[in-house]
Amino acid sequence: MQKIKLLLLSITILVHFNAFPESHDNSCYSINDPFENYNRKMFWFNKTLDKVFIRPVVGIYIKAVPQYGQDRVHSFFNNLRSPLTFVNNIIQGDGKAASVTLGRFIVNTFLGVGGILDFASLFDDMDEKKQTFDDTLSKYDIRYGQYLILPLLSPTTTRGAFGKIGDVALNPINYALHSKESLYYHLAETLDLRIQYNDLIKSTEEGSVDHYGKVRSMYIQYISRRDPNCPLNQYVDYSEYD
Amino acid sequence: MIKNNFTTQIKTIAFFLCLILIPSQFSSADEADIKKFVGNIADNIIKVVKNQGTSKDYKANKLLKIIKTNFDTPWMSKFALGRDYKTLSSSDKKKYKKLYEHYLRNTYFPILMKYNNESYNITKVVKTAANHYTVAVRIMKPGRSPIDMDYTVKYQGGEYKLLDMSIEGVSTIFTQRSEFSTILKQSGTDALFKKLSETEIEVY
Repeated sequence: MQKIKLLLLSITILVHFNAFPESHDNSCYSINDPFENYNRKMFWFNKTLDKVFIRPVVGIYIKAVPQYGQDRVHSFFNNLRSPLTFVNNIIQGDGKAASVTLGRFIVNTFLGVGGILDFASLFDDMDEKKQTFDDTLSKYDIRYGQYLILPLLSPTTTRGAFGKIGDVALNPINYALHSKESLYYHLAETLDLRIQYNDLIKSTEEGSVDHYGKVRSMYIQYISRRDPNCPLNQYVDYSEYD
Repeated sequence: MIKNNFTTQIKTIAFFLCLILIPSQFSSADEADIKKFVGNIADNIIKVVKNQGTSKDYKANKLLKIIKTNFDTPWMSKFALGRDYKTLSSSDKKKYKKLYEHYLRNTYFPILMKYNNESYNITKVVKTAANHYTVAVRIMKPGRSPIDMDYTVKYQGGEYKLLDMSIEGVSTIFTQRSEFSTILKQSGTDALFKKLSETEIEVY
Protein backbone atom coordinates (compact mmCIF):
# COMPACT_ATOMS: atom_id res chain seq x y z
CA MET A 1 0.00 0.00 0.00
CA GLN A 2 2.88 2.34 0.83
CA LYS A 3 4.37 1.69 -2.61
CA ILE A 4 1.10 2.62 -4.29
CA LYS A 5 0.85 5.82 -2.19
CA LEU A 6 4.42 6.69 -3.21
CA LEU A 7 3.52 6.08 -6.85
CA LEU A 8 0.43 8.31 -6.67
CA LEU A 9 2.45 11.05 -4.97
CA SER A 10 5.12 10.75 -7.69
CA ILE A 11 2.56 11.01 -10.47
CA THR A 12 1.03 14.10 -8.83
CA ILE A 13 4.44 15.77 -8.58
CA LEU A 14 5.31 14.74 -12.12
CA VAL A 15 2.09 16.06 -13.61
CA HIS A 16 2.64 19.28 -11.67
CA PHE A 17 6.17 19.55 -13.08
CA ASN A 18 4.93 18.82 -16.53
CA ALA A 19 4.54 22.30 -16.47
CA PHE A 20 8.02 20.82 -17.13
CA PRO A 21 9.92 23.26 -19.23
CA GLU A 22 10.11 21.23 -22.42
CA SER A 23 13.39 20.75 -24.23
CA HIS A 24 14.95 24.00 -25.40
CA ASP A 25 13.47 24.04 -28.88
CA ASN A 26 10.48 21.80 -28.15
CA SER A 27 12.14 19.01 -30.05
CA CYS A 28 12.24 15.47 -28.66
CA TYR A 29 15.88 14.91 -29.39
CA SER A 30 17.32 18.18 -28.12
CA ILE A 31 19.35 18.03 -24.95
CA ASN A 32 17.98 19.68 -21.83
CA ASP A 33 20.67 19.53 -19.18
CA PRO A 34 20.33 22.43 -16.72
CA PHE A 35 22.05 20.37 -13.99
CA GLU A 36 25.15 19.78 -16.13
CA ASN A 37 27.68 20.88 -13.49
CA TYR A 38 26.19 18.55 -10.88
CA ASN A 39 25.59 15.78 -13.44
CA ARG A 40 29.21 15.82 -14.65
CA LYS A 41 30.49 15.44 -11.07
CA MET A 42 28.04 12.62 -10.33
CA PHE A 43 28.89 10.94 -13.65
CA TRP A 44 32.57 11.00 -12.69
CA PHE A 45 31.73 9.68 -9.19
CA ASN A 46 29.64 6.79 -10.59
CA LYS A 47 32.29 6.01 -13.20
CA THR A 48 35.00 5.83 -10.52
CA LEU A 49 32.88 3.58 -8.31
CA ASP A 50 32.16 1.36 -11.29
CA LYS A 51 35.86 1.14 -12.19
CA VAL A 52 36.95 0.32 -8.64
CA PHE A 53 34.18 -2.03 -7.46
CA ILE A 54 31.86 -3.22 -10.24
CA ARG A 55 34.16 -3.65 -13.23
CA PRO A 56 36.51 -6.15 -11.52
CA VAL A 57 33.53 -8.29 -10.44
CA VAL A 58 32.07 -8.14 -13.95
CA GLY A 59 35.49 -9.03 -15.41
CA ILE A 60 35.81 -12.11 -13.19
CA TYR A 61 32.24 -13.22 -14.01
CA ILE A 62 32.77 -12.86 -17.76
CA LYS A 63 36.02 -14.86 -17.60
CA ALA A 64 34.65 -17.54 -15.28
CA VAL A 65 31.21 -18.15 -16.80
CA PRO A 66 31.01 -19.34 -20.43
CA GLN A 67 28.90 -17.25 -22.81
CA TYR A 68 26.17 -19.90 -22.86
CA GLY A 69 25.86 -19.76 -19.08
CA GLN A 70 25.78 -15.95 -19.13
CA ASP A 71 23.00 -16.03 -21.71
CA ARG A 72 20.93 -18.42 -19.57
CA VAL A 73 21.29 -16.21 -16.48
CA HIS A 74 20.30 -13.17 -18.55
CA SER A 75 17.33 -15.06 -19.98
CA PHE A 76 16.20 -15.97 -16.44
CA PHE A 77 16.23 -12.32 -15.29
CA ASN A 78 14.66 -11.19 -18.55
CA ASN A 79 11.75 -13.51 -17.93
CA LEU A 80 11.29 -12.08 -14.44
CA ARG A 81 11.06 -8.60 -15.99
CA SER A 82 7.98 -9.71 -17.93
CA PRO A 83 5.42 -9.10 -15.11
CA LEU A 84 6.49 -5.43 -14.91
CA THR A 85 6.25 -5.14 -18.71
CA PHE A 86 2.80 -6.76 -18.57
CA VAL A 87 1.52 -4.25 -15.97
CA ASN A 88 2.84 -1.37 -18.09
CA ASN A 89 1.27 -2.85 -21.26
CA ILE A 90 -2.07 -2.84 -19.41
CA ILE A 91 -1.70 0.76 -18.14
CA GLN A 92 -0.79 1.81 -21.69
CA GLY A 93 -4.00 0.15 -22.89
CA ASP A 94 -2.01 -2.06 -25.27
CA GLY A 95 -3.90 -5.36 -25.11
CA LYS A 96 -1.96 -6.96 -27.97
CA ALA A 97 1.42 -6.27 -26.36
CA ALA A 98 0.06 -7.47 -23.00
CA SER A 99 -1.03 -10.78 -24.50
CA VAL A 100 2.40 -11.24 -26.16
CA THR A 101 4.17 -10.47 -22.86
CA LEU A 102 1.92 -12.86 -20.95
CA GLY A 103 2.38 -15.53 -23.62
CA ARG A 104 6.17 -15.11 -23.49
CA PHE A 105 6.13 -15.36 -19.71
CA ILE A 106 4.02 -18.54 -19.66
CA VAL A 107 6.00 -20.24 -22.45
CA ASN A 108 9.40 -19.35 -20.98
CA THR A 109 8.44 -20.14 -17.39
CA PHE A 110 7.02 -23.58 -18.15
CA LEU A 111 8.74 -24.75 -21.32
CA GLY A 112 11.88 -22.69 -20.71
CA VAL A 113 12.47 -24.05 -17.19
CA GLY A 114 11.75 -20.91 -15.22
CA GLY A 115 12.95 -18.65 -18.02
CA ILE A 116 16.44 -20.11 -18.33
CA LEU A 117 15.64 -20.90 -21.96
CA ASP A 118 13.98 -18.33 -24.20
CA PHE A 119 11.61 -20.64 -26.10
CA ALA A 120 9.18 -17.82 -26.90
CA SER A 121 11.68 -16.20 -29.29
CA LEU A 122 11.31 -19.23 -31.55
CA PHE A 123 7.72 -18.20 -32.30
CA ASP A 124 6.86 -15.51 -34.83
CA ASP A 125 5.42 -12.26 -33.46
CA MET A 126 6.62 -13.01 -29.95
CA ASP A 127 9.50 -10.54 -29.93
CA GLU A 128 10.47 -9.23 -26.57
CA LYS A 129 9.55 -5.56 -26.02
CA LYS A 130 10.40 -4.51 -22.50
CA GLN A 131 8.36 -1.70 -21.04
CA THR A 132 8.96 0.32 -17.91
CA PHE A 133 6.90 2.98 -16.19
CA ASP A 134 9.13 5.58 -17.91
CA ASP A 135 7.86 4.22 -21.26
CA THR A 136 4.29 4.44 -19.96
CA LEU A 137 4.77 8.08 -18.96
CA SER A 138 6.22 8.86 -22.40
CA LYS A 139 3.25 7.13 -24.01
CA TYR A 140 1.00 9.59 -22.17
CA ASP A 141 3.00 12.43 -23.73
CA ILE A 142 5.02 13.39 -20.68
CA ARG A 143 8.32 14.72 -21.96
CA TYR A 144 11.62 13.55 -20.52
CA GLY A 145 12.17 16.78 -18.62
CA GLN A 146 15.81 17.19 -17.68
CA TYR A 147 18.78 14.88 -18.04
CA LEU A 148 19.80 13.54 -14.66
CA ILE A 149 22.58 11.47 -13.14
CA LEU A 150 21.67 9.95 -9.78
CA PRO A 151 24.17 8.34 -7.42
CA LEU A 152 24.88 4.67 -8.17
CA LEU A 153 22.34 4.55 -11.01
CA SER A 154 22.56 4.58 -14.78
CA PRO A 155 21.80 7.86 -16.63
CA THR A 156 18.19 8.93 -16.49
CA THR A 157 15.94 11.98 -16.71
CA THR A 158 13.54 13.64 -14.28
CA ARG A 159 10.75 11.61 -15.88
CA GLY A 160 12.90 8.48 -15.68
CA ALA A 161 13.51 9.06 -11.95
CA PHE A 162 9.74 9.06 -11.35
CA GLY A 163 9.53 6.07 -13.67
CA LYS A 164 11.91 4.16 -11.40
CA ILE A 165 9.62 4.85 -8.42
CA GLY A 166 6.72 3.59 -10.54
CA ASP A 167 8.65 0.43 -11.41
CA VAL A 168 9.18 -0.33 -7.72
CA ALA A 169 5.49 0.25 -6.95
CA LEU A 170 4.13 -1.68 -9.96
CA ASN A 171 6.49 -4.63 -10.14
CA PRO A 172 4.56 -7.75 -9.02
CA ILE A 173 7.87 -9.35 -8.01
CA ASN A 174 8.17 -6.82 -5.18
CA TYR A 175 4.86 -8.02 -3.75
CA ALA A 176 5.74 -11.69 -4.14
CA LEU A 177 9.04 -11.39 -2.27
CA HIS A 178 9.90 -10.17 1.22
CA SER A 179 11.74 -6.84 1.31
CA LYS A 180 15.13 -8.44 1.96
CA GLU A 181 14.70 -11.00 -0.82
CA SER A 182 13.43 -8.26 -3.10
CA LEU A 183 16.57 -6.20 -2.43
CA TYR A 184 18.84 -9.17 -3.27
CA TYR A 185 16.80 -9.86 -6.40
CA HIS A 186 17.17 -6.26 -7.62
CA LEU A 187 20.91 -6.24 -6.86
CA ALA A 188 21.36 -9.43 -8.89
CA GLU A 189 19.15 -8.11 -11.69
CA THR A 190 21.10 -4.83 -11.84
CA LEU A 191 24.37 -6.74 -11.98
CA ASP A 192 22.98 -8.85 -14.83
CA LEU A 193 22.12 -5.68 -16.77
CA ARG A 194 25.56 -4.23 -16.06
CA ILE A 195 27.12 -7.41 -17.49
CA GLN A 196 24.90 -7.23 -20.57
CA TYR A 197 25.91 -3.62 -21.20
CA ASN A 198 29.59 -4.19 -20.47
CA ASP A 199 30.72 -3.97 -24.11
CA LEU A 200 28.52 -0.94 -24.76
CA ILE A 201 29.88 0.86 -21.68
CA LYS A 202 33.46 0.15 -22.74
CA SER A 203 32.84 1.22 -26.33
CA THR A 204 31.39 4.58 -25.25
CA GLU A 205 34.66 5.30 -23.46
CA GLU A 206 36.99 4.25 -26.23
CA GLY A 207 37.74 6.94 -28.79
CA SER A 208 35.56 9.44 -26.98
CA VAL A 209 36.47 13.13 -26.76
CA ASP A 210 33.84 13.91 -24.10
CA HIS A 211 32.56 10.76 -22.46
CA TYR A 212 29.84 12.54 -20.49
CA GLY A 213 28.55 14.36 -23.61
CA LYS A 214 28.62 11.16 -25.65
CA VAL A 215 26.63 9.11 -23.11
CA ARG A 216 24.15 11.97 -22.65
CA SER A 217 23.51 12.27 -26.39
CA MET A 218 23.17 8.50 -26.82
CA TYR A 219 20.75 8.24 -23.90
CA ILE A 220 18.50 11.10 -25.07
CA GLN A 221 18.38 9.62 -28.59
CA TYR A 222 17.60 6.18 -27.15
CA ILE A 223 14.67 7.31 -24.98
CA SER A 224 13.34 9.60 -27.72
CA ARG A 225 13.40 6.72 -30.16
CA ARG A 226 11.29 4.68 -27.72
CA ASP A 227 8.87 7.57 -27.25
CA PRO A 228 5.84 6.97 -29.53
CA ASN A 229 5.23 10.75 -29.63
CA CYS A 230 8.64 11.53 -31.13
CA PRO A 231 9.02 11.39 -34.92
CA LEU A 232 11.51 8.83 -36.14
CA ASN A 233 14.57 9.76 -38.15
CA GLN A 234 13.65 13.41 -38.39
CA TYR A 235 16.28 14.74 -36.07
CA VAL A 236 19.22 14.29 -38.40
CA ASP A 237 18.98 16.37 -41.55
CA TYR A 238 21.08 14.42 -44.02
CA SER A 239 20.62 17.06 -46.70
CA GLU A 240 22.50 19.57 -44.52
CA TYR A 241 25.82 20.55 -46.18
CA ASP A 242 24.86 18.73 -49.40
CA MET B 1 -4.04 28.62 -81.14
CA ILE B 2 -6.32 26.62 -78.89
CA LYS B 3 -4.59 23.41 -79.99
CA ASN B 4 -1.17 24.94 -79.28
CA ASN B 5 -2.30 25.97 -75.79
CA PHE B 6 -3.68 22.51 -75.17
CA THR B 7 -0.40 20.86 -76.29
CA THR B 8 1.59 23.21 -74.08
CA GLN B 9 -0.66 22.37 -71.12
CA ILE B 10 -0.27 18.64 -71.73
CA LYS B 11 3.51 19.06 -71.97
CA THR B 12 3.54 21.08 -68.74
CA ILE B 13 1.45 18.48 -66.92
CA ALA B 14 3.66 15.68 -68.30
CA PHE B 15 6.78 17.56 -67.18
CA PHE B 16 5.51 18.01 -63.63
CA LEU B 17 4.30 14.41 -63.51
CA CYS B 18 7.82 13.34 -64.44
CA LEU B 19 9.25 15.54 -61.68
CA ILE B 20 6.94 13.89 -59.18
CA LEU B 21 7.37 10.36 -60.42
CA ILE B 22 11.11 10.21 -61.15
CA PRO B 23 12.35 10.75 -57.58
CA SER B 24 9.91 8.16 -56.27
CA GLN B 25 11.02 5.56 -58.78
CA PHE B 26 13.10 3.09 -56.85
CA SER B 27 13.87 0.07 -58.93
CA SER B 28 14.86 -3.32 -57.62
CA ALA B 29 18.18 -2.78 -59.43
CA ASP B 30 18.84 0.24 -57.16
CA GLU B 31 17.87 -1.81 -54.13
CA ALA B 32 20.18 -4.63 -55.18
CA ASP B 33 23.06 -2.16 -55.71
CA ILE B 34 22.55 -0.55 -52.31
CA LYS B 35 22.36 -3.93 -50.59
CA LYS B 36 25.54 -4.96 -52.39
CA PHE B 37 27.27 -1.72 -51.31
CA VAL B 38 26.37 -2.18 -47.63
CA GLY B 39 27.04 -5.93 -47.75
CA ASN B 40 30.51 -5.32 -49.22
CA ILE B 41 31.42 -2.88 -46.45
CA ALA B 42 30.28 -5.37 -43.78
CA ASP B 43 32.12 -8.27 -45.47
CA ASN B 44 35.33 -6.26 -45.89
CA ILE B 45 35.28 -5.18 -42.25
CA ILE B 46 34.66 -8.77 -41.07
CA LYS B 47 37.54 -9.93 -43.27
CA VAL B 48 39.90 -7.41 -41.66
CA VAL B 49 38.75 -8.13 -38.10
CA LYS B 50 38.89 -11.93 -38.50
CA ASN B 51 42.30 -11.89 -40.15
CA GLN B 52 44.38 -13.68 -37.51
CA GLY B 53 48.08 -12.98 -37.33
CA THR B 54 47.92 -9.33 -38.31
CA SER B 55 48.78 -6.58 -35.85
CA LYS B 56 46.25 -4.15 -34.41
CA ASP B 57 47.97 -1.27 -36.26
CA TYR B 58 47.65 -3.13 -39.55
CA LYS B 59 43.98 -3.81 -38.91
CA ALA B 60 43.35 -0.21 -37.83
CA ASN B 61 44.95 1.13 -41.02
CA LYS B 62 42.99 -1.31 -43.19
CA LEU B 63 39.84 -0.11 -41.45
CA LEU B 64 40.80 3.50 -42.16
CA LYS B 65 41.12 2.58 -45.85
CA ILE B 66 37.60 1.07 -45.83
CA ILE B 67 36.27 4.21 -44.12
CA LYS B 68 37.96 6.56 -46.60
CA THR B 69 36.68 4.58 -49.59
CA ASN B 70 33.09 4.03 -48.49
CA PHE B 71 32.18 6.79 -46.03
CA ASP B 72 31.48 10.37 -47.07
CA THR B 73 34.01 11.65 -44.54
CA PRO B 74 34.11 15.26 -45.86
CA TRP B 75 30.34 15.55 -45.34
CA MET B 76 30.41 13.70 -42.01
CA SER B 77 33.18 15.92 -40.68
CA LYS B 78 31.21 19.05 -41.61
CA PHE B 79 28.04 17.71 -40.02
CA ALA B 80 29.84 16.72 -36.81
CA LEU B 81 31.23 20.24 -36.37
CA GLY B 82 27.99 21.99 -37.35
CA ARG B 83 27.98 25.75 -37.86
CA ASP B 84 31.48 26.08 -36.45
CA TYR B 85 32.92 24.43 -39.55
CA LYS B 86 32.44 27.63 -41.55
CA THR B 87 34.49 29.63 -39.08
CA LEU B 88 37.61 27.47 -39.59
CA SER B 89 40.49 28.69 -41.72
CA SER B 90 41.31 26.56 -44.78
CA SER B 91 44.42 25.11 -43.10
CA ASP B 92 42.35 24.25 -40.00
CA LYS B 93 39.74 22.60 -42.23
CA LYS B 94 42.42 20.35 -43.72
CA LYS B 95 43.83 19.56 -40.29
CA TYR B 96 40.37 18.86 -38.92
CA LYS B 97 39.44 16.53 -41.80
CA LYS B 98 42.51 14.40 -41.15
CA LEU B 99 41.90 14.36 -37.40
CA TYR B 100 38.27 13.45 -37.98
CA GLU B 101 39.13 10.45 -40.16
CA HIS B 102 41.47 9.14 -37.49
CA TYR B 103 38.86 9.82 -34.85
CA LEU B 104 36.33 7.78 -36.86
CA ARG B 105 38.75 4.92 -37.13
CA ASN B 106 39.54 5.11 -33.41
CA THR B 107 35.84 5.14 -32.52
CA TYR B 108 34.89 2.22 -34.72
CA PHE B 109 38.01 0.11 -34.25
CA PRO B 110 37.40 -1.07 -30.65
CA ILE B 111 33.72 -1.74 -31.43
CA LEU B 112 34.49 -3.76 -34.54
CA MET B 113 37.24 -5.70 -32.80
CA LYS B 114 34.55 -7.14 -30.52
CA TYR B 115 33.03 -8.89 -33.53
CA ASN B 116 32.29 -12.46 -32.47
CA ASN B 117 30.83 -14.39 -35.40
CA GLU B 118 27.53 -12.51 -35.46
CA SER B 119 25.62 -12.83 -38.72
CA TYR B 120 23.79 -10.02 -40.46
CA ASN B 121 20.72 -9.73 -42.60
CA ILE B 122 19.80 -6.70 -44.73
CA THR B 123 16.09 -6.48 -44.06
CA LYS B 124 14.89 -3.34 -45.82
CA VAL B 125 15.95 -0.49 -48.10
CA VAL B 126 13.88 2.68 -47.92
CA LYS B 127 14.30 5.72 -50.14
CA THR B 128 14.11 8.69 -47.79
CA ALA B 129 14.94 11.54 -50.21
CA ALA B 130 15.90 12.02 -53.86
CA ASN B 131 19.35 10.47 -53.35
CA HIS B 132 19.21 9.20 -49.76
CA TYR B 133 18.42 5.69 -48.60
CA THR B 134 18.09 4.00 -45.24
CA VAL B 135 19.24 0.40 -45.14
CA ALA B 136 17.96 -1.65 -42.20
CA VAL B 137 20.33 -4.35 -41.03
CA ARG B 138 19.67 -6.91 -38.31
CA ILE B 139 22.68 -8.31 -36.46
CA MET B 140 22.01 -11.76 -35.04
CA LYS B 141 23.71 -14.05 -32.59
CA PRO B 142 22.10 -17.28 -31.39
CA GLY B 143 20.62 -16.96 -27.91
CA ARG B 144 20.82 -13.15 -27.93
CA SER B 145 18.30 -10.45 -28.80
CA PRO B 146 18.98 -9.17 -32.33
CA ILE B 147 20.46 -5.69 -32.76
CA ASP B 148 18.86 -3.38 -35.33
CA MET B 149 21.05 -0.99 -37.27
CA ASP B 150 20.22 1.61 -39.90
CA TYR B 151 22.77 2.68 -42.49
CA THR B 152 22.14 5.99 -44.24
CA VAL B 153 23.47 5.89 -47.79
CA LYS B 154 23.77 8.68 -50.33
CA TYR B 155 24.02 8.27 -54.10
CA GLN B 156 26.07 11.02 -55.68
CA GLY B 157 28.39 11.30 -58.65
CA GLY B 158 27.66 7.76 -59.76
CA GLU B 159 28.62 6.12 -56.48
CA TYR B 160 27.19 5.25 -53.08
CA LYS B 161 28.64 6.69 -49.90
CA LEU B 162 27.80 5.95 -46.28
CA LEU B 163 26.69 8.96 -44.21
CA ASP B 164 25.70 7.47 -40.89
CA MET B 165 25.16 4.31 -38.88
CA SER B 166 22.47 4.17 -36.23
CA ILE B 167 22.43 1.41 -33.65
CA GLU B 168 19.01 0.89 -32.07
CA GLY B 169 18.09 4.42 -33.14
CA VAL B 170 21.27 6.08 -31.85
CA SER B 171 22.90 7.99 -34.68
CA THR B 172 26.70 8.07 -34.80
CA ILE B 173 27.08 11.49 -36.39
CA PHE B 174 24.38 13.09 -34.24
CA THR B 175 26.24 11.79 -31.17
CA GLN B 176 29.51 13.17 -32.55
CA ARG B 177 27.99 16.60 -33.14
CA SER B 178 26.65 16.66 -29.61
CA GLU B 179 29.99 15.51 -28.19
CA PHE B 180 32.00 18.06 -30.19
CA SER B 181 29.66 20.96 -29.52
CA THR B 182 30.15 20.75 -25.73
CA ILE B 183 33.93 21.02 -26.11
CA LEU B 184 33.61 23.79 -28.69
CA LYS B 185 31.30 25.80 -26.42
CA GLN B 186 33.38 25.30 -23.30
CA SER B 187 36.94 25.35 -24.60
CA GLY B 188 37.05 26.23 -28.33
CA THR B 189 38.42 24.71 -31.53
CA ASP B 190 42.01 24.18 -30.35
CA ALA B 191 40.80 22.13 -27.39
CA LEU B 192 38.67 19.97 -29.70
CA PHE B 193 41.61 19.40 -32.06
CA LYS B 194 43.77 18.46 -29.08
CA LYS B 195 41.15 15.98 -27.85
CA LEU B 196 40.81 14.47 -31.33
CA SER B 197 44.57 14.05 -31.64
CA GLU B 198 44.71 12.50 -28.16
CA THR B 199 42.30 9.76 -29.19
CA GLU B 200 44.70 9.06 -32.04
CA ILE B 201 47.46 8.27 -29.54
CA GLU B 202 45.24 5.74 -27.70
CA VAL B 203 45.01 3.42 -30.69
CA TYR B 204 48.68 3.41 -31.70
